[in-house]
Amino acid sequence: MKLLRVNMSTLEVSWEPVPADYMQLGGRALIAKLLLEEIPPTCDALGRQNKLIFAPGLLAGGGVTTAGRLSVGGKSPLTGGVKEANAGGTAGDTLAKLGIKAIVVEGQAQSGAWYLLHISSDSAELLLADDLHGLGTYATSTRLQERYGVDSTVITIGQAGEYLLQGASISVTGERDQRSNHAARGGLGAVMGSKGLKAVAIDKPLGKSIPLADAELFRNAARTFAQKLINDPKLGTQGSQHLYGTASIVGAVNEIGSLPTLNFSTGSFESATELRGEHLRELVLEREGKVGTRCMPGCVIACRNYYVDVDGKPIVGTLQYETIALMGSNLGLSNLDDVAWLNYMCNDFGLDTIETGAALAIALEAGLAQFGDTKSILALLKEVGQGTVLGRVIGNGAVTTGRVLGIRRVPAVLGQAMPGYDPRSLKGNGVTYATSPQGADHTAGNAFGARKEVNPLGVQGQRELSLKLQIIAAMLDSTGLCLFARPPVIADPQLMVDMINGIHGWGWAKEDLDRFNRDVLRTELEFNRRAGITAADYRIPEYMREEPLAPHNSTFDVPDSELDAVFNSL
Amino acid sequence: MIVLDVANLFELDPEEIGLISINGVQSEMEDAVPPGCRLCFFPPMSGG
Repeated sequence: MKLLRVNMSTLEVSWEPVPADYMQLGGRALIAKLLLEEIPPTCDALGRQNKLIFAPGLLAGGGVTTAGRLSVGGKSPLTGGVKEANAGGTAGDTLAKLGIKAIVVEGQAQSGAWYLLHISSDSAELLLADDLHGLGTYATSTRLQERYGVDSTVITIGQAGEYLLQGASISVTGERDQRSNHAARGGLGAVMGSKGLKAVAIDKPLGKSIPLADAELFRNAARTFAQKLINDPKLGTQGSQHLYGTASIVGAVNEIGSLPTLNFSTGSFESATELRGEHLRELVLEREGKVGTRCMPGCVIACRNYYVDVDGKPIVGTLQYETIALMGSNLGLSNLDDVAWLNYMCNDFGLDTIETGAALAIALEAGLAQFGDTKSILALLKEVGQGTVLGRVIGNGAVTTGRVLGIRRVPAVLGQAMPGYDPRSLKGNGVTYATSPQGADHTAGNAFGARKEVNPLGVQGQRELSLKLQIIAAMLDSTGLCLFARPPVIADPQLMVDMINGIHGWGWAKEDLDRFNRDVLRTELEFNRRAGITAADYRIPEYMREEPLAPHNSTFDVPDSELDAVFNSL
Repeated sequence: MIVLDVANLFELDPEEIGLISINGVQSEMEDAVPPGCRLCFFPPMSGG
């Protein structure tokens, strides 16, 4: 394996052997270590000293189902701390098959210059990309796949990243013409834009797999892992995740009163039925779209959809729960077609739908348009792509929008907007939002799937639950696994150990895996500490401690002392 | 009447029930079902 260093200041690319300290790291774990070792934690996230890292997980390239996610990281302009966001598509597996442990993008190109990084099986080069400047992610991806082949992988930013907006995402293509995979959170698209890097195009690797240290051990473990996913009642072919996608939880989250609605002013939406996964499936099948599609080759869960309009014309590659929550109920919209169009526009501009949905809701609360007014909301979002002053405010996310428009009810932690679970009715997620080094991020430790262990409305047990979930999330994000694939490796961590040992031959025991997972969090927390982030920066917004949330009239009442103690037993 | 009685009434397999709520509050099979309440059964699912 090797590291690819890309210096945007000198326009040089270089290959180097993986340093010993980085060898047994991948994905999120590698990003955390690299940031701590190589960048000044107090640096300007959009300056030359920050680095943008693309890193496949430890299981990438071996053919483990759901394990091809690409981790993208850097210091976040939104949170001021460590950030890892990951996306499906083909980039993770492709980089691993090329023997690339990580791409590290350093320095900064001259202002106004845009570059493309082209990677083939034995070389990498920076090319001028003036022709791509100003294009959205769809057009950029299509143009580069025309140039490098339909089987090439394209990683790109849209206009939002070029404008350095803090809600900017990074798009990753999937098999052939598949789109809509985004490393969305934390404004990493702006970091990519700040480097002057518009896109990365990677040729399809010649090899079909990576070398295996113990092929039999690996294949047995990988086969068992896949079979357990297929047998899982949530994830298999008759499971809600496969049939209805991530939107399968809309009804349940609404019922427990945690569905963000009208800028997080209530936890249930009267038209939630129209947003449910069951309805989405009916609509898509009726219109001859697709359900049960994949974001990564070989995924056995297949929770995506291909959302089409009433005439069967494609709108967006997949419509997912978080987008439905933040750009549906949170904006007072009950028509999935409207949400799908907003999703398409965000994808094309290269915007995080969570951050942008939260920012738009704040704009609505400020009176810029009415909740539920599709036409006006679409017009507001269009301004982001056009780069108007108002568009740039919204594109910079919830906190900026709240500050500019004088709105105090801003659902954000560490500068990052909350995802689709109001923490007043799902307090375990509130603990994660208020303690994760990643800021308000459901993928850092989502308590929704753990309802039976802890009462979502209660305080007791939330601290322990959140820590357990955050440790698991660190493992998933570092191995490249989809978070939905967690049940088999939680039930039997030896499976994960065997897959890692089968590929790498490190001879890990379960204790080594546990230490590895915890070290990810320790490293990230240390980076944030050195960046000057204190406990006060992680707090849940004050209004959520004071303003009861219907229908349970609950507030977020987990004491600060509990939050501060989450990592005591890390 | 408890939740399990209602599940049996509708011939629901307890193994296929992932979440139960009574008036929006997480509940379990052995909880009492008050008259006039809203009882919901959801299949096993993951947050995402």
